[in-house]
Amino acid sequence: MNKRIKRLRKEIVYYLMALPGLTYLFINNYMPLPGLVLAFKNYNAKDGIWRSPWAGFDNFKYLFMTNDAFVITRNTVLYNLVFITLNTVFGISAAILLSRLRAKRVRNIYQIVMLLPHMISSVIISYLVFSFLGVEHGLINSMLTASGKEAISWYTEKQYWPFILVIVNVWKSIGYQAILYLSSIVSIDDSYYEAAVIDGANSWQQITKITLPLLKPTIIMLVLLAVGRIFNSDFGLFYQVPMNSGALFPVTNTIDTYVYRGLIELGTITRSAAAGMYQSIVGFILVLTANLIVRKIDRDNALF
Amino acid sequence: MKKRLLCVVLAMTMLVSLAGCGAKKEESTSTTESSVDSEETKVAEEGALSHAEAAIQARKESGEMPTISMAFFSFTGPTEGAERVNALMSAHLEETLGIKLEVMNYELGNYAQQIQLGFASEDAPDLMSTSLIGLSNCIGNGYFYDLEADGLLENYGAGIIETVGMDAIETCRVDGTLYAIPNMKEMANGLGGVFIRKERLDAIGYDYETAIKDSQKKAKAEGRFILDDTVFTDYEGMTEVLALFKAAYPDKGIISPSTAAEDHMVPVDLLGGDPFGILDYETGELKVENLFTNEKWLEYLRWVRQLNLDGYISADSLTNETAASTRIDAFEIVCGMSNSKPGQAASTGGGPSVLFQMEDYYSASDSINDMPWGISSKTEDPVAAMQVLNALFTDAELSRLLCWGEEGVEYNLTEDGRLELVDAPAYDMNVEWEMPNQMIAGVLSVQSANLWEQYEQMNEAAVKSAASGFLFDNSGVQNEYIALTNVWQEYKMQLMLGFVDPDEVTPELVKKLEKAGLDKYMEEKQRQLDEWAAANGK
Repeated sequence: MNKRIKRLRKEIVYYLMALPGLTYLFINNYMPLPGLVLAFKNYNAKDGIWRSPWAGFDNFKYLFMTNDAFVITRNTVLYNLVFITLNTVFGISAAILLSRLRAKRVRNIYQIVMLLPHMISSVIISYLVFSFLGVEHGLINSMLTASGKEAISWYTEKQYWPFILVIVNVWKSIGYQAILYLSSIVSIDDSYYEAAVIDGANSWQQITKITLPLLKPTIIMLVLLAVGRIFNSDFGLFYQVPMNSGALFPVTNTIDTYVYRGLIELGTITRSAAAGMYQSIVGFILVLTANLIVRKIDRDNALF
Repeated sequence: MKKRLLCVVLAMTMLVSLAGCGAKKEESTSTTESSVDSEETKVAEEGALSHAEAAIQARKESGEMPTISMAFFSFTGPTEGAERVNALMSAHLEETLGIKLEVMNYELGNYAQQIQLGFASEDAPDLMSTSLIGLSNCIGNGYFYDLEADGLLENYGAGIIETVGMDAIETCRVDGTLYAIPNMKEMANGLGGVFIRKERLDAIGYDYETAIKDSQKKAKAEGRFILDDTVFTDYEGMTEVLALFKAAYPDKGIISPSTAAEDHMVPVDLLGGDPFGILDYETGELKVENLFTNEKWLEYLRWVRQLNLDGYISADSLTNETAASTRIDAFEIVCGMSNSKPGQAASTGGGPSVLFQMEDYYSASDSINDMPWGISSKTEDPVAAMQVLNALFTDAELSRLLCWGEEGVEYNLTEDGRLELVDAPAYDMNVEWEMPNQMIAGVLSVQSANLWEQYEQMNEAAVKSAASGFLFDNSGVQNEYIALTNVWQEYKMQLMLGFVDPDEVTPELVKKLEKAGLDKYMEEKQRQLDEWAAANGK
């Protein structure tokens, strides 16, 4: 007992440090949970949330009436799969390259420059993208017309957008990913590399034989966390960057933008709650499945 | 240490339960309210005072003034002078009714959301405009109080009945319950209008005086109603005028097409505000038709498409998020489209304009009841709310404060009693048409003195919808409505701004809409329309 108290006293600082975060988590993620009941209600303001009549699964119907549910689920999941893959590959590559830089100041500059897009609001990003893709004065169209080619109306041609969104996303998140991996790489003991150099290993061999295997737990954890959020899309990226252009909906509509538009245009809380619940439940199942697979392959690295 | 954790947990629980208490408290106050009501009725029965007078006296004697909040939207939200003018209105009502007034003025884009949040968070207004939300939505969401409960309208809203008239009021009755009061406004609109500032026409040397005179002569000869400063034209004639601008300003966007074309530009009746199922004015039948295959609609879109192909519409208009009106004010674009009503040409687009009108005047089925005012179902004092509403419809001083601000600050009176606005008034609303009664607030000096008579004349002259007064309730087909809206959103802006060929896109659009339940939605409209027709002997 005494021991435990001693330990707690020692760790209380850490608990206190976690307190704001936990409070935030509680307020934002747990307190609204009872509101899920709205998804099954025929809400009206007079009766309030609890006394409004039940609606069964009626609120979910609209999702499946057209192929909206399919399109938004497909978009959300496929984009996120691509994002997870590319973010991991580019993040690790960038981290390894950064770790190999000798000059500390140069490394810091690169790191900051790469991290910057992560800090910019998506509204500003959307205008940065617009400066490239603007129909009249955009950089790309100016180049196209200058070289005698025809200008492209970027915001109505949906075939380009899967690529545009992926590029923007990689540009935006590479710096942050690199920092996460870099922090693991710098904690690898230098003596491994020294021994490898003595054995005559070249740089490539050092990376594949030492860095990557030691990074594996970090990679698995980050990928698992990302998979858990595979049903959440980066709202700013999918709403702001395509400038909410209707013609692009087939390739830019994700669950989040769909729910947002539904709420803004139609003001139906119950249906938005239903879509949100659909998102959480499928997301929950996906995390469990992913974790299960990891457990099968490598028990130590599973999250739970 | 465990104790400390326990403390935190306990504190949390307390917070949560406190929130619960807050909600309960409100319920208990509403029960005391009703007992006050019954006291008032007692007073009224005992003395010779009317119900309304008795309520005012009771409030003045007790010294307790209830606060009634009213919600509406304006284009920008409250402007600089709002606090001062709101205080004046409240002071005026304290004196006349013994009621304090709280104004909840939201920005146009947020209005529906703010109202929704208000109702969800027990912070709902007592009085509100249904504009932008729609009466049937408000009723469906349970926002509204039964205006005839305990003789509310009869006892405390006599002025409303007298001003608005029972015929118009009846159009807000749904399933036997009266939910709202139509505001005083035009009951028809000129469709297919293009407003061009006079100074811009002067700059290209267009002789609008003659054109206006010719149109007026011709209209007189045909016995047709025409507004001031109006030139009747058609698509071809309009393009000719625009071509003059195109020649003078080859690098400017010439026209910004309407993004509510189904409502403003094409003579169809939307039967409740959505484009899914319309009535054609021309046939005069109560038959719900598909807008998207309507020949007039397609003809309009083809015209816009041609304008776009010929470079009249700025290429970035799909992505430019600056409001078209702002771009027109800044002369980035020459002119814009809108529907029209008397007095509008005098001030639209920031200055005196000429209205080029391509269609006639029409009165839609919901033109009486498309933005009525209602009392909130959450109000704690329905009597006071009704009395304030009554004052808004009948008290000229209050209405003038609300619409135009303070005399000597925002406006000066001219000799004939019109309002001359100062430059850049601090209280700058421009939503007098949304208010319960703009007609008692006065006429601006730039408008003609007989403005309200022109309203009457236009209402008379307009082609009336066969379904005048019909109110569509989409609560039974909301799933379809959402699905249809989602499909429509995908095509809407491109079609309305002429970036795609309507003849090419329409089959695809219609196919998708049908898949989303267009037929079912239109059938429901037709069913309700038939029921309404049977009930109203049409």
